[in-house]
Amino acid sequence: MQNMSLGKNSIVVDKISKRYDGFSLDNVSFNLPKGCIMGFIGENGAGKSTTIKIILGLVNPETGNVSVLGDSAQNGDIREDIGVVFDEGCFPDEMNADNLRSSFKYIYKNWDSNVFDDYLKRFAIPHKKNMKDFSRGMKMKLAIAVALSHKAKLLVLDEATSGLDPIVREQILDVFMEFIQNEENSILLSSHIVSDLEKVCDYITFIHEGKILLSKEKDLLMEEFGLLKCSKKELESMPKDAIERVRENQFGVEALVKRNKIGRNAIVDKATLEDIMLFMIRGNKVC
Amino acid sequence: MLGLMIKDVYTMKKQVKMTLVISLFYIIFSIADNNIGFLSFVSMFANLGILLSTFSYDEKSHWDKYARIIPVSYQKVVASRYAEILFVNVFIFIILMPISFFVKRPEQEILEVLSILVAVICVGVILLAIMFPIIYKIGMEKARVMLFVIMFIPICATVTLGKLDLGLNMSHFLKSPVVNFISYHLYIICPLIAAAFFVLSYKISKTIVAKKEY
Amino acid sequence: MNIIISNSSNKPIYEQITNQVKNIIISGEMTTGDVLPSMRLLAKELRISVITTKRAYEELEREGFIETVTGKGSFVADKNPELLREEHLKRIEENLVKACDIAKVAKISKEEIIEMLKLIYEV
Repeated sequence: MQNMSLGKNSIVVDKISKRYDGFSLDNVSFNLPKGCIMGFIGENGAGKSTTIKIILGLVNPETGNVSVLGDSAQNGDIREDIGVVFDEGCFPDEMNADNLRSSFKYIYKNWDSNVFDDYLKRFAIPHKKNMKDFSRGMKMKLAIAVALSHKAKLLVLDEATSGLDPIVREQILDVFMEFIQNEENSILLSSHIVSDLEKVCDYITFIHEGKILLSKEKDLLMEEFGLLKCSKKELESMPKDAIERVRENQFGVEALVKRNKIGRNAIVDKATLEDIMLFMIRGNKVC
Repeated sequence: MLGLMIKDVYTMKKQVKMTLVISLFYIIFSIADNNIGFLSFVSMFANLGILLSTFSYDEKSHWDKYARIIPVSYQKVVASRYAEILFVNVFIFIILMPISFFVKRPEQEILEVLSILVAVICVGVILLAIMFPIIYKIGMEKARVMLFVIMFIPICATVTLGKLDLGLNMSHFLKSPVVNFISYHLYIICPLIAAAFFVLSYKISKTIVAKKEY
Repeated sequence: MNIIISNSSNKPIYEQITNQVKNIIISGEMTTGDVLPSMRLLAKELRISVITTKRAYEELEREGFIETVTGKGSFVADKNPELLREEHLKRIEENLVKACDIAKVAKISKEEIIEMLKLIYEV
């Protein structure tokens, strides 16, 4: 057993790499502390799903280690405490919610049918309708209901809110915030809908082309950066180490800047998480 | 493991109903024709239809990926499928046994009829034992065509086996003591061979699934 | 207890919380021994990160406004009059700094400001 810190982190990802044709994960490391929600952001194909699969033990890394709840997800006992929701509904269409309840009762030791039924009621999911006739939102909600009905300590969601309308997304985010009221629980939530993550996450990990660009407290991230809009000339007079990324247009420039280095004279607007992501990916570095 | 089998039952409910209805037709044909050959069709159809479909449904719904994150070990996941082979075939045997005796021609011995039934079911089990690791390795979609070919030959053989008036043939072979021994003890030998295939198949499937990545 | 957060303000969220809680305590809306909402509950209701609320509470504790007992929660600390006075002085200073900045830009003299202050105070 590796010497991973048992106490403080739900997930420890340590220098994992994996190579595929045309894509590779390179030296990916980050930690998810207990009691927190981590938003895992990146554009499509950046490596979010692959990383999550490695965390869950669906894929083996070529190098590096992963620790989940102090152990490995390959260990069946640990999986009792993990609830997973994938972006595609993973249950056979021919089943209904009642069928799921009957099946999962014998799959999870800590399965609680009452909790499950409560969620069904709350999410307005019919008991006897076949999942074939469910909308995507309902399938997701059902998957979340399952994930929350066996006393899980860790929720891992891979693009679970994509393709859902704002009402459903808010419902789901509310459920997550309730889950996190228990300090022992954590959530790893990957999404390319950054606005969702901006609201509820405690930590943000940003992956791009298989590499981690940053992994830090969301508040610190939001305080660190701001947006500066000015002319090209004005930008040239700014301290170079304050400028993170620049985007030019015909009539001026926009720059992602570090607030603590830009000085008092500049008028710096708030940068949203989406701004930060777009600038990091599509902006240019200043030489 | 129980949970997985329950899930398969719920997933397959429509399929099972359909299989039962069609099987009923075949059984009626058998009775009408006094022919055991059709009974073999029942066994084959039920076996393959239901058990192979569990794989397609799982693949279609990406359940095989999900099954890796539930607390059931991959060994048990594979074992549940093999347990289902046993359940279905025992069930088929229990249903078809009385029907065979009913269908048989008066000159056929009870043991002979039993042997044919057992042999046919065992062929089914052996076929599944061959198919399962292939499906685990390359997935149901790709395996489908290959499986059809593999199935076709033995099915024809089995039906022919049933149709041949084995009574006559057997008396011809009875002269050889080895063949005599084998044919009289078909009802023991076939299951033994099938069991060997079954266990080997399970071991191979486990190895394949252990290495699988999703 | 009302806490209103503005996302568009340039002030960090934890600072907004700290200021509002301070105001609530200073104004007397909550007194010594009153229980504050848990950090997690506050985070959930305001839809913000629990780390933010934690930071706000830690700051409040550092400045002596609240006390946090593990397992029990956070309470309004003994109102130390020195503390309150200091807090008020700090606020006044912040505002005076702003006023002086404007004055310097507008080239208004120190004497004019002092005169203005005297008049205002009398009101």
